[in-house]
Amino acid sequence: MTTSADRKPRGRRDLLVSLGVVVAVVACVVAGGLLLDPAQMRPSAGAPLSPPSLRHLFGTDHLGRDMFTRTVHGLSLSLAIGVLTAAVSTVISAVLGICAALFGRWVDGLVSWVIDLSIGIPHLIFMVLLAFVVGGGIPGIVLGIALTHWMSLALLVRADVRQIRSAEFMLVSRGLGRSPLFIAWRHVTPLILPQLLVGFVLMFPHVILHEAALTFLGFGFSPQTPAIGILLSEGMPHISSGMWWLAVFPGLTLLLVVLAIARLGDRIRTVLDPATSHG
Amino acid sequence: MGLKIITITMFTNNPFWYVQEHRCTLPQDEEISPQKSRRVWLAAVAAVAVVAVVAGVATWRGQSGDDASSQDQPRNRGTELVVAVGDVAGGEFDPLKGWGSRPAQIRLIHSSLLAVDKNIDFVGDLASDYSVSDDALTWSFTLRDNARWSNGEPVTAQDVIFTYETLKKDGTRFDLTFLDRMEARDGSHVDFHLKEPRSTFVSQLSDIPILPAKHYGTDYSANPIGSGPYVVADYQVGQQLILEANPNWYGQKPQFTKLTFLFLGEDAALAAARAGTVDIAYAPPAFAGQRINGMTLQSFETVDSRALTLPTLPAGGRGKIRTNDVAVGNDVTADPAIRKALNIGLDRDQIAQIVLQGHGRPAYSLVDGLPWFNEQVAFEDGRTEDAKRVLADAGWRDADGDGTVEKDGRKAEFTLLYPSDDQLRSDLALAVAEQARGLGIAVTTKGSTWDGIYLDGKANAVTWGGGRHHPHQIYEMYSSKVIDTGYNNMPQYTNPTVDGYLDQALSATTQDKANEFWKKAQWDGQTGFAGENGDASIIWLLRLDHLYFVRDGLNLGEQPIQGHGHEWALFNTLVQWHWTS
Repeated sequence: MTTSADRKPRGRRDLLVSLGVVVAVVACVVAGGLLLDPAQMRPSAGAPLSPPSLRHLFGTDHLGRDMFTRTVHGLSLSLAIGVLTAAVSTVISAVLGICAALFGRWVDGLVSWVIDLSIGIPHLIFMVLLAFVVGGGIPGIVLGIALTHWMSLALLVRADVRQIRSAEFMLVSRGLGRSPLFIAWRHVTPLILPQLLVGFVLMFPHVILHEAALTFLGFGFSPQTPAIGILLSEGMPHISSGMWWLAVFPGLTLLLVVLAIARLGDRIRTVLDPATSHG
Repeated sequence: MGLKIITITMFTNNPFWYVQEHRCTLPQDEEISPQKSRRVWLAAVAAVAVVAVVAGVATWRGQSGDDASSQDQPRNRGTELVVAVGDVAGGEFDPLKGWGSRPAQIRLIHSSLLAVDKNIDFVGDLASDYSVSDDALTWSFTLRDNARWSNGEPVTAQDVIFTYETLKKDGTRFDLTFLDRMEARDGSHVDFHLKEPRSTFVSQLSDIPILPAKHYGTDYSANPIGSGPYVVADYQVGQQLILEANPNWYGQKPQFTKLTFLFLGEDAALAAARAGTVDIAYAPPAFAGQRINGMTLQSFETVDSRALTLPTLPAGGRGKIRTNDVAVGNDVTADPAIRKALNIGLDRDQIAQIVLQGHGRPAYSLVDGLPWFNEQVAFEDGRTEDAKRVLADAGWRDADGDGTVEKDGRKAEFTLLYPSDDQLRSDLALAVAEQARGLGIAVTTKGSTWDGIYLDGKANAVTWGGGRHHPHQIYEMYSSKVIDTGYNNMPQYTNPTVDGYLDQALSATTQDKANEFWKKAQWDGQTGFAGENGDASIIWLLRLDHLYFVRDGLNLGEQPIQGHGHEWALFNTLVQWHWTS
């Protein structure tokens, strides 16, 4: 706690613990998605609306579908969409951030304008609009979320690259006649990779929550898809009539996955950031 | 609830959350970050604990019934009733805005020329007597002489003519295109002259509220003068409607002088019933297992039916739905063997058990239980082996062993569309797909909007619905003459014999004769659109029951089989309601 020598291993150790937790959770979810019997998600797989028991860990819904199977499938869907959209968002952020910082004043002006514009629109409304325009389903959700989460990371990338821009090796490279594209790819990208990695991991839980929000509001999948947002919106009206397991377990598992990944993101940042890593 | 709050907090902070987190990574802040995240964990655990406790209590209350709170509730409220039967909004009190388009909707503050009694016979309401000419083109009505508006003025033949003229000119809310002209022979006799015979005119006659010619205007919704048992005392959009007894009502005096409608959602209505603040609360099937002290769950048979429409033409055609030009036909469902296999192979009892938790019953036609229902079209279903034999006889075999039968290289698979926001139809689609799989037919369910369904519905199966206190929907769903108009006859079904019966039913001069032809159209011994060996262009599967929690001791009269929609269906018998203890 007191000396920097203590901190370094602790940061690493924490990171490993977090990473271990996330890997375990993801492995469980993926394995569950592959191994659990889809027949459990058909109507009348069990008695309708039975509370959690050993046979049905998370209880069953009004059609007798097993909520544990549905929740695990929902989570694996969420994770898949999370990876995809967070990756797309990160790429957009990187490209726009680097362009803004390297390719002259008017590109910078344009990109900054687009960022300001996008950041100014209320987030959820922007997503709902995009998802609606694309027409719902997986494309709607992926585009809706990917196109609304890149702004803040792009701002950070832009600031970082502007710093790097004036470094001596950059000036030398430019003096040797290297093209801006070459500089962007060979010199800048490796330097901002850690930043992108942190951005990606931290965006991930965010993106998953928004996927759940969109499906909760009914802009995502068809209602039979076991997505967490759909499970939650199905379960909400039943809380007051005592069937709490319908909403609590999907919500709880979503919360745990999101917190685990967010924690991992924080720790990666602590280790990678020169200001805190002391390494 | 805790989950929701946390989620929303993250959303509202959203655009800046990420940036803030990064700004925190200055060296002097490094100890704050872990503490902060520890606090987040603590908050999350606390929230989970709160949710678990609340949920546990709710479960316990739901299972044990709340004994304590209802002990001191009044057993009844004397002459006042508070009901929560859903949001009754839509077309408030003005037929030009759609008032009267739902069964029994007008019965409280308006009256109509005819009404349905508990046997679904059409009897006089405002009209004390009526007769139909031999050519079925002239309908004559005698108005009762004691009918008064709520302001005390008499109801006259001029009011009747004004109402029908206004609605005919409007043309969008009620179909009166067959109406030629009307004349008043004197203050209490009206003749309606029709362009073509229309035995189902009784439906409009019992749905259309009569309006006061002298007091009708654009502000009628705010000041609805009617001739029903109640008058509107107060109406708050989206919140409540208060009705008081109409002193000038001509019929039997109701026992209740004041009715308060609370517009509550399903779970709020249940909570209000638990708290003892309402005397009647509607309940979806999922809530039927709840027990509420001092209230009993009452279940009412309805004509509200659900079905599958199956295109009867092969793919490749074009047709119209409303104004849209759409694709028509489906090569799989066009095969009568496929439709018949589904008709006899699906287990309606089991479907009703799954999607309605048993609070419904099998349906074999659009009109089960009504006077124009042909009882010969009910049959034993769920006959998986017979269904498979029908398929095999028609050449459908599972040669590649994937569980789905094929014929001439075409797999027996089709898409079943349902509206995503309709839980019942969504569940129905799922249950049907599941059972059809057992017959070797692969049904893919697809959620859509109604607009989407109207575009794709003539080339795919659709979860359809219907159910009225009159037989005109039979004509709309099965006559080949109405193909390509509105969204009638979705499967583009044509059977000349059925068409003949349907036309004869429409031009019958009495309801009894009409009923005879409606029955023959269903099944005449040789052919028909329903029954075990019928054409099954629409496979009717179930009728739902309307469920209400009703305060003990409140008698709701002799309910007729209820119409579509739980909001108004109860109120046909309102004047008979009374406390038994």
